[in-house]
Amino acid sequence: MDELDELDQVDLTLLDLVDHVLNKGVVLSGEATISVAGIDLIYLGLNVVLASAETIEAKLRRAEP
Amino acid sequence: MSFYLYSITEASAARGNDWPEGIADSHVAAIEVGSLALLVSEIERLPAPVQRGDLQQHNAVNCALLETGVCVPLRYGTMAPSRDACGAFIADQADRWNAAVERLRGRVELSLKILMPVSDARGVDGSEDQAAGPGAMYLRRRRLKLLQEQAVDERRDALEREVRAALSAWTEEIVVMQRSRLLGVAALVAREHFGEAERHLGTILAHTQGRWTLGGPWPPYSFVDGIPDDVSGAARLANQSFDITVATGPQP
Repeated sequence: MDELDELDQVDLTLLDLVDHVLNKGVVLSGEATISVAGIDLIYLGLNVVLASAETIEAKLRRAEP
Repeated sequence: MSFYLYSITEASAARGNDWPEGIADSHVAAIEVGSLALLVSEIERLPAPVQRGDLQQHNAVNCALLETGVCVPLRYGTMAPSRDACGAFIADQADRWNAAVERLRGRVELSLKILMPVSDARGVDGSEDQAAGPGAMYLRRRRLKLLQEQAVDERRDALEREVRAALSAWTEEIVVMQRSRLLGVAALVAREHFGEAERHLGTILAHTQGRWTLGGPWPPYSFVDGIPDDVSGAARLANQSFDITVATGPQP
């Protein structure tokens, strides 16, 4: 089943919440990039688990020049 | 301790209110700077991993604000290192936030998301000829998929036009997201017209194939993109990227 078929499993209520609160709203100092293996978040809504703050901070440190 | 930021509003709207619990069941308070205010919570760090309830708590605070006044919502995950940084965040860009408040005064967001069913492709026999070779079968399946996608695109475009026409009586500020079988529409409407617009749209959707969710009034998350975000560095986005793992079991 490809990612488009997974849309049939999507909880639209959760998708709407995530789309508003995580994908929109005023953003400070850069964009929040939300994806799963290159697929936009808007595709997926059920049972999302976001990376911990430690993971994000580690990624930022690796990204620093 | 750090400060978690929910939204910007007028100071008069932020006074004397009992806010719902915020992120990590924290207390929500307002930091006033002149005529503006910032709704915040003091927390150690963002909850990790983030759950649906955390997102709901962020939104609940903003919805509560929407009941009393203007809400310029911030994205989930926005934090500032100190109270002084919160104040600087408001003061340094006061003109921009005042402009945002004026633009969004008395207005709320109506949100629609529609997941359209896979369309029946016209003119293509979906059954597979067992006598055909694997190459022919692959090409047949591919053609069927392309025709289905084309049919979905056409229906989605037609539905978007219908929704835009339906909402035109109440607003011209509409944001549309199209992605394959998913159509998302956000409309910025005057609060007093929200119920009417929602009901009218609901009558159209009653005859629409697929699943849909129509709701609000949302704080106007979809209509703050035009507000410049090159604000002071005093406030920072705690998480600049998220890798989403889709759990296959029940949420913890």
